[in-house]
Amino acid sequence: MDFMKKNIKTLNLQEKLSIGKKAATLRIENLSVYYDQQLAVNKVTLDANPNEILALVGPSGCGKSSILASINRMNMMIDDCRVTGRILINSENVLTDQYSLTKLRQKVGMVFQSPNPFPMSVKDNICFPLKDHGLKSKKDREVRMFDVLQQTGLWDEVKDRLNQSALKLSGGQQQRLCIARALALKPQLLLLDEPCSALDPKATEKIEILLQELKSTVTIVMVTHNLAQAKRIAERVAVCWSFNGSGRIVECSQTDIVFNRPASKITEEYFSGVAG
Amino acid sequence: MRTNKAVELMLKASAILVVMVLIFIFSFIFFKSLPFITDNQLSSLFVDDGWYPTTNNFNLFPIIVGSISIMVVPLLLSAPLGILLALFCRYYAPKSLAKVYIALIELLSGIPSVVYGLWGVLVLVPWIGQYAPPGASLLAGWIIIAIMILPLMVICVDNQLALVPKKWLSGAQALSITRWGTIWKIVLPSCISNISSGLILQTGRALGETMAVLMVCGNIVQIPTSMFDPIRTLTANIALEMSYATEMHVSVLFMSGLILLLMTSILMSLAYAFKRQPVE
Amino acid sequence: MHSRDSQLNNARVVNHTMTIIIWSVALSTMLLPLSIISDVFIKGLAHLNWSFLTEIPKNSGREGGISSLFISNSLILIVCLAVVIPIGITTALYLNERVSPNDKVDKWIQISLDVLAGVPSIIFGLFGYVFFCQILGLGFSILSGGLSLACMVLPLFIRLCENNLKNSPASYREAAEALNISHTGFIIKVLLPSVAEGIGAAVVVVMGRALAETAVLIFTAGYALRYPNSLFDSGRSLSIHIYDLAMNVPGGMPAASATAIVLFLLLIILNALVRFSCRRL
Ligand SMILES: Nc1ncnc2c1ncn2[C@@H]1O[C@H](COP(=O)(O)OP(=O)(O)OP(=O)(O)O)[C@@H](O)[C@H]1O
Ligand SMILES: [Mg+2]
Repeated sequence: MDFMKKNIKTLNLQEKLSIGKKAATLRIENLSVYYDQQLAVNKVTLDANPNEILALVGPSGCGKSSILASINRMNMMIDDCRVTGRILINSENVLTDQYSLTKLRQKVGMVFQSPNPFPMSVKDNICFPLKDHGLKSKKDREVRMFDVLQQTGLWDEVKDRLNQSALKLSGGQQQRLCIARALALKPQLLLLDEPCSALDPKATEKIEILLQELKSTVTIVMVTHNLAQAKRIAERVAVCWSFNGSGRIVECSQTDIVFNRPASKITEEYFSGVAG
Repeated sequence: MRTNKAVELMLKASAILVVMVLIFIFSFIFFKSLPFITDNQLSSLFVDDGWYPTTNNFNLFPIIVGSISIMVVPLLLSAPLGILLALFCRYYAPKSLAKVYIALIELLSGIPSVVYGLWGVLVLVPWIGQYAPPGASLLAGWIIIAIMILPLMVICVDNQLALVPKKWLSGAQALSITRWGTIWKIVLPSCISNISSGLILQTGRALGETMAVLMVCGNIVQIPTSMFDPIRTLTANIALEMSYATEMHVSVLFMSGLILLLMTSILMSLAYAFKRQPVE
Repeated sequence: MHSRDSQLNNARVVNHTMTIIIWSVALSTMLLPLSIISDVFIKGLAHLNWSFLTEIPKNSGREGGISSLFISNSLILIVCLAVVIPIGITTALYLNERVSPNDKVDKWIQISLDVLAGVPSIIFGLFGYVFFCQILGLGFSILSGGLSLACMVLPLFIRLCENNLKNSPASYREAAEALNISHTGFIIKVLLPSVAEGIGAAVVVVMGRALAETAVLIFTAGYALRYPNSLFDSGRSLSIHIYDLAMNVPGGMPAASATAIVLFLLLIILNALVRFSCRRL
């Protein structure tokens, strides 16, 4: 009896942590971001379809990171940052207080510009968040760890040093570990803010291949300064531009359209290196 | 992050506990000195016939003068020296020497004041005594305190120098401005107010110093007329008398503690007033 | 042209003069503290031998050793640290982590910490003597001494811990935020381990401060020379021993200097510990 109960409980938790079998639909409507009255992002509307990579490009300071950080409400951490508009994930507005932060952060994974693994072992980097989220069985955690390390192609590289500090891995490995850590919570949407800008071309290539593979399970929104990278891996590209200090999306469509037949003059000039 | 009420509460409770301990200590000192404030006129601290606490004569004035005189001269001695030494470590000494030098300074800053006092009794006081007996004097106090606060001052100036943006220095170097020119025109102006702030704080150390002063200053209650006169400071006075004080005498000792606190608070607000945000 | 050249020359001359001044000042100033140390060493070394470390003081400390003082002093330190470490870390965590920042309360805590850090130590001695020894009835005891000492070093320890916590990389917090880790989990598994060395260094710094302190202990821990039987016993610290031998015991100078050497060496060891743990950061 007891054993059964326990099993059911773990199962529930398993379910809880794997709501996202399917990739999410993201729709951003009229999103504005203010930093202390300063309008940084002005009424942006944008969407990302399931199983695609959406690349967000544009010059520095045009508000790409601000848009991204609004999606999982990360800019809540910043004092005097105000966000208005709607962000719908699977048609549910996540910018309301009713939408629980726990649920949101679990559904939406985030990876940052410079790799930021926790100062603990490789294994704990993935298992500690799982444990913290209530996945009590050690075996389940380890299975999950194995899965995501496999998925990110790290397993063979780190299987002999799972108990070593994650800070001893190379930059590229650290970044993949961060992606694995995000994936371990089974998100439906993955946000990446210039994930390759601190990495060398070889490590960048590995991550690009990884992202291509991942889009079968998650929707990916990625900020990048590297136009060639956007061209290589994104299904669609959104171009962000700053007008009087407030960011707007000037155009968003299929990658080849944006690069070859841009609808906006600004896009054309930006890509040819005239503007920006 | 998901917060846990119990843990947040525990953290808050300990912060509140600390604040309460603080408030308790301050109010304790205040209430203990109340009997004196209510029974005697505060002016008796300055007009009584001298410091004879057993017969209710509480003229604290010479002792206050002692405390002030012991702190000013060491400041004047060791502040410029401290600045020069810090400049030496940062801009003149080769890296390896600077490292050793700073390590030495840190070591010196940790020497207990009672050891400085011991040296005073062992060497300094007999030496001064040869020329101007008895030797235990204001001068001995000055020398000891100046030596004691010098390392603290060097560390404090060095910390401020560390905040000067590197690009300014390389900019000056590119224009081939002399080293001293760079220091005088660029480095010092940018951090002199923070340095002053720190130096004033260290002066508070001199004011609060007990052991070394107790050991080398002679502890005679008088307004000094020369630097070879023995003096007594507020701190030494408390240390000397609290073990046998009773009733009103205890209260006046707490009163002198309150005066000491007031003086350090003044120094501290001065230091606050000098403080600037470091430049970007 | 002329004036410009002479100005340039002027600057060069001033520059060279200052270089010479600074070098000579720097090299000569250090002679004084070094001579202090050597004076004390010369006086004390003759008195220092193995039995000085292993025997209890005899004849008011003129003869015998300081073994019982080690015990007393360690107990005083232990009492002090047992109070300071838990309260200090949690308070620093509160200051660094408060969920809903309340600027006013915060500012008051900060100011009172600053003020308390600047309070002359003899005032803690006076407070401890009247409050712990007399009002709480602990008498001259290791407990009174340790608690008074704790009041004195608490602000310093909180400050050091707070600075360490502030320097913990913001990226850890970002990652924890994005993964929605629980606050408690973040503190225990990420934040504190990431600053463990710094906190260790802070503990050692505070130990050094407590070991060097005399004024707080004179009238709280007392003067007893024997081995303490319990925390309620009086026990003399090394620093008080130096003071007492130098001031109140005729002929106590050699023993005082020898004790000073021991204290000095202990502090050097602590100092080296701090440097070691900081390098590992
Ligand atoms: N924490 C903040 N406080 C105040 N203003 C901010 C803050 N973060 C960003 N901003 C402002 O918002 C605007 C958009 O910044 P954001 O970081 O989103 O740009 P970005 O497109 O990501 O730039 P980059 O490519 O350099 O990362 C900028 O003008 C910036 O100054
Ligand atoms: Mg950005």
